Amino acid sequence: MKTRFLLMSATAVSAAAVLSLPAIGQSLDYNAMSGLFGEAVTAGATGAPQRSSDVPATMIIITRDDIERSPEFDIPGLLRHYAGVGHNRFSFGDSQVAIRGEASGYMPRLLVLVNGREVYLDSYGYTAWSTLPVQMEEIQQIEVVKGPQSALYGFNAVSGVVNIITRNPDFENWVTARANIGNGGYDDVAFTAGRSFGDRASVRFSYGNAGAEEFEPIASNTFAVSLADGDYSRETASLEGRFQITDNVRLIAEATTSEVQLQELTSIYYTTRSLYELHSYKIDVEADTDFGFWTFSGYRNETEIAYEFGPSSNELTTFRAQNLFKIGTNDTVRLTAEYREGTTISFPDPGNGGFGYETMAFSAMWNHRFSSAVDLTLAGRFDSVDWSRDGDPNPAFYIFTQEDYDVSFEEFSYNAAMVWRPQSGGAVRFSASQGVQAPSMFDIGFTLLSTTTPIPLAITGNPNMETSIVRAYEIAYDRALSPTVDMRAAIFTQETSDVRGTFGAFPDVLPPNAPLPVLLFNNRGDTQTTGAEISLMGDPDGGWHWGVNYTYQSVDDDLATFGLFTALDFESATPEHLVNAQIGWAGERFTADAFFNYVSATTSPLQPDFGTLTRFDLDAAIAASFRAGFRVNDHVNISLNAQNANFGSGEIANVNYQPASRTWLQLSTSF
Amino acid sequence: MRNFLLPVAAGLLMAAPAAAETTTRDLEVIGRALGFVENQSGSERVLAIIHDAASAGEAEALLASLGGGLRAGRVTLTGRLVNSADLSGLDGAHAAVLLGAVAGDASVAQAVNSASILSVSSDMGCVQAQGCVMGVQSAPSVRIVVNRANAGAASVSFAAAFAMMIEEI
Repeated sequence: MKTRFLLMSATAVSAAAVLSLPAIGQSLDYNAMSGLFGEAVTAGATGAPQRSSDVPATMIIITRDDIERSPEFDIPGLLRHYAGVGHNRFSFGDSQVAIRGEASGYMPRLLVLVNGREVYLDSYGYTAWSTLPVQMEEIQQIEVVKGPQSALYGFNAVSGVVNIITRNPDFENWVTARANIGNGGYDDVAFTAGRSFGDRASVRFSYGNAGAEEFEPIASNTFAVSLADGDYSRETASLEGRFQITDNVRLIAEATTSEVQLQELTSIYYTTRSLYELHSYKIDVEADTDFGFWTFSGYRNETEIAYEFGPSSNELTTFRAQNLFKIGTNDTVRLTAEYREGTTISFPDPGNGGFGYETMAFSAMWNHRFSSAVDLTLAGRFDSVDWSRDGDPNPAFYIFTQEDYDVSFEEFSYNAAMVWRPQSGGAVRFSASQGVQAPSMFDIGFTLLSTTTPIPLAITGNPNMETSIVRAYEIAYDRALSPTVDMRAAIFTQETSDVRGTFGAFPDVLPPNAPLPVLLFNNRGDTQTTGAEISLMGDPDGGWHWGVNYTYQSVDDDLATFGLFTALDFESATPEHLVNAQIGWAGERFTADAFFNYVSATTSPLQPDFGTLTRFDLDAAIAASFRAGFRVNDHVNISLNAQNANFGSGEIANVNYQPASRTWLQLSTSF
Repeated sequence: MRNFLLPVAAGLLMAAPAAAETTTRDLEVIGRALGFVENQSGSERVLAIIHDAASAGEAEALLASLGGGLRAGRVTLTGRLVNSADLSGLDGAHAAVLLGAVAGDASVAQAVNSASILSVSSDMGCVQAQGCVMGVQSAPSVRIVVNRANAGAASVSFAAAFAMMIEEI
């Protein structure tokens, strides 16, 4: 109690004295700004609004036009076409995305936010993308920041961040209704609307309902085969109100709900069927004052998940105060204080005591413009975390006592980048960063008694687990090669020490040191990824546009023995080569787009039955997707979409379910 | 002494402006930028096109390109010709674009500031020399420079997000 009081007091004090970066992004008029500067704008790299050519990080910004022209029905599908993005569709609804690495099941290293609210499930430590309460038609832009970004976003932003920004009803009124119907039982309807009421209030609303038959399972994944009759369903809704309290103060309130059922691949390469029921509530107060742009925000995520192995019920509450201001003409500063509290019931085994953590964090960012050619950005964040458990795990099965869970850790993360715009054109970025991946609630407090194995086993989280530290270095170069062709290139290296890792098939602790053999969540070694990426994009005259990108990534693991002590094998499971290409044409009423993706061969871990870890070879694959659109009139569009058109009834592209060709007709109206 | 030298230096700089002609694209950028000026309501903005005899043709061309109103982002921009020898036409204007040698005329700058009107020029020397509040360049990429001191003198302020995305001097 005393700790909590002190933490909250500290938050209040810092709030009285100092802003947060993602927050200003909610009030940016992206359309007006990008129209003014002739390029995308973002607040996703430093917390301060910036032109995309000025950001001190390698970013992808996916605009509303990009989304409308893609033959994809979800956000991970959109992302897979860009350089440095790894993607696996483990089932119809379970896609995972990685930045410069393996897109594994329950990918833990990528932080995902919607309007600055974390949708990353920090209970297990991954993003269930289908649960995002966002319809494609209400997205303003999707920002992907590559590399560790903990200094801005906190824990788990270690390979990158995806920030989804929705349309702002303060700046535009719209209504969209859309229906997709396709093969494989796919149907998807969505309604979105945004409207302002005078100068003082506006509302955004969205609703979506989708379903599909599941793909065919991989024959050798025994458990996936046993779950094969579970289809996909998704229903989400979101309501946001924006209120201008005074000329300079705005209040934004949002509530969302999601209910999703789907098959998934977990972090131990084991299949599960999951039912998600998620609710969130968020309030932001923004004040544009003579003393900076202040943001006070709070949100609460309530998560109920029924996994195949048991239920999980979690709550995350976050408060943040941030001030963003300029000093003089060349310095921009952001100061942030943040308090987080995560709690969960004892899971999946009930009765071992609920547990959770409290975090207090302080961060700062300073951007200095030395000249119109050179600027420097430095950002740092300090996190202090305290864990606790309110009951004793059953000592007949588990090795840790309640007191063992009273652990704390303190971590520092940073981002440093210099942007140089040489007279010869373009921009060169030099960046170094350190990110922190915190143990998840599963990592710390999971308790499960397994009786399906030949001998009873205790599977348990580990309060002694260390944070995983990621250090990254990058040199990037962006420039226009001609008035109609842009190039973006980067070379990077990223070292991860004390990789958060799950158990293998062999117990980590044996009797007499434990009442039962124990499979333990633990740190499993180190890994390093080095690579390069290059993108070329062209917008020649005549309504054409094209793009091609290539990513090379080489992984060097120093991990615990695969199979016995970990299910991880980044070195084999990360594709060495990724190539994406697209070409499109837009006429007065017709549009046509084609997308191609190449992924080189990999060998993926697989746990077809619990306790039997093996490896599975995946051949190189090419996917071809197409979209043809026709504008019937100013308000009605119709399109035919073919995702992975060459996959037929299924392509063995991962170890869970075989992505099949999906074709759908889309009818959409907008006003 | 310092108080004497600064205006002289500014005057010298302003006396030799680059001969950058203002284009229709510049006007679009100016119009869009006006959408981020604080304490202005509605979406209609009047742009005074201040010219001298040498730049009268350029001014006529700009007025023609504005037509009945140029839609630029949040605002609709209409134009009005104002001869630098008679600035009475500034009344009611939201912004003034300074053409040709007018961009180096300290008396015009002072008059525009006194009327609390945002002065703008496509000649970056003008904003550098504190002859106008804003310098705008639309090609090859958009560049906006704001002179903070001059903005203060004209009582012009900008939305915080806008101020963070431009160059201030």
